[in-house]
Amino acid sequence: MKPWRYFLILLLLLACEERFNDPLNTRPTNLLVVEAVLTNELVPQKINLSFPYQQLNGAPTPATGAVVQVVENDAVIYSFYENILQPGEYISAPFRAVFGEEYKLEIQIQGKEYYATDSSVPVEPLTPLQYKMVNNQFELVLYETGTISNYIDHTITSEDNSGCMPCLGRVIFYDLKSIDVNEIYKPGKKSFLFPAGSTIIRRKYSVSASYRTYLRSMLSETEWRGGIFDVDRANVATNLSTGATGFFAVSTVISDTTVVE
Amino acid sequence: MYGEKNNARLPTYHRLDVTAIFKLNRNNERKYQHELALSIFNLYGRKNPLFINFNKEAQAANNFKVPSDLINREYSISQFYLFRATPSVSYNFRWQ
Repeated sequence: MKPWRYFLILLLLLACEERFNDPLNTRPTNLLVVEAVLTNELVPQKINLSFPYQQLNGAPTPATGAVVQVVENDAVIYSFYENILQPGEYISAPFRAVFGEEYKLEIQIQGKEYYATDSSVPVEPLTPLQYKMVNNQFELVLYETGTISNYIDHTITSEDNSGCMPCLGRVIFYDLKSIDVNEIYKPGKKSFLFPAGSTIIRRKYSVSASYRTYLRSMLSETEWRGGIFDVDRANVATNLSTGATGFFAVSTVISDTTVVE
Repeated sequence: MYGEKNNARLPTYHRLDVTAIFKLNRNNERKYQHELALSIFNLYGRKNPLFINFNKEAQAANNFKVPSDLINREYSISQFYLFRATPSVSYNFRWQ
């Protein structure tokens, strides 16, 4: 190809990205944000309720004073109580949310009621953890496995903070078994490196069909945004009734722990 | 999430394009007319944002990446813009 044609193609593709310094003009909103993932582990289940962030790197406003419960198959009721140490977090007594049962979330807050239902699907076994050495440190090698949608949450703790307050890092790998052009051309991700001796706790979550729809739309607005081919901006899917966003999910979880040496 | 829908605007969009057209016909009675146009798009090089991203960290000047670590991250707002001052040449030919 002749040089001028390369130049023409370059001109067509030319775009620059730089910092945007104009302030965000935001107004408070009372849109309820629900973050709820019940699992099959016999632990106190947690549900977070909040209102939207007002600043880019700020903290969400906790939604306090809610009445929260989960109903299993219209028969068994699990009540959630607000954590006094962490406003906006609601905790139950230990119970399992198991495969084959339907769970319904009910929230009453500020005179309004919100509902959502979900059921879990099975999860495939974890495959061996892979990591590679980069500049005398380590980096996770994330890869797709199996045939069912899932995501793996990696909590990484160094020897210095074994109590995980705070953890060294947290990396989530989504494997939604979908072909999305905005995922294929998603923007580059920053590497996360950790030292030898770090402990990695992996938790693999199963993803139901509706949860997968939510995750795809959420990723399209977050991790997959800013590449070459973006989809139109749109509301993130939800299974919550009108006036709330987020998702109420029930997942099957398996986990393992690895010490990196 | 930052607030209500449609509560923010992109900065004002403006640019100046200039074009000089040189008629190449000396005789206007001919069966065809042709001319050469020299243009400059966005003469003063205004950086008009095409779109704005809220999901990236600044690695260095004008190098933005999505963070992998969900605990230690510091988002910054970045904008994409297309051409600044861009010259072009076109040739027009038409039958009378």
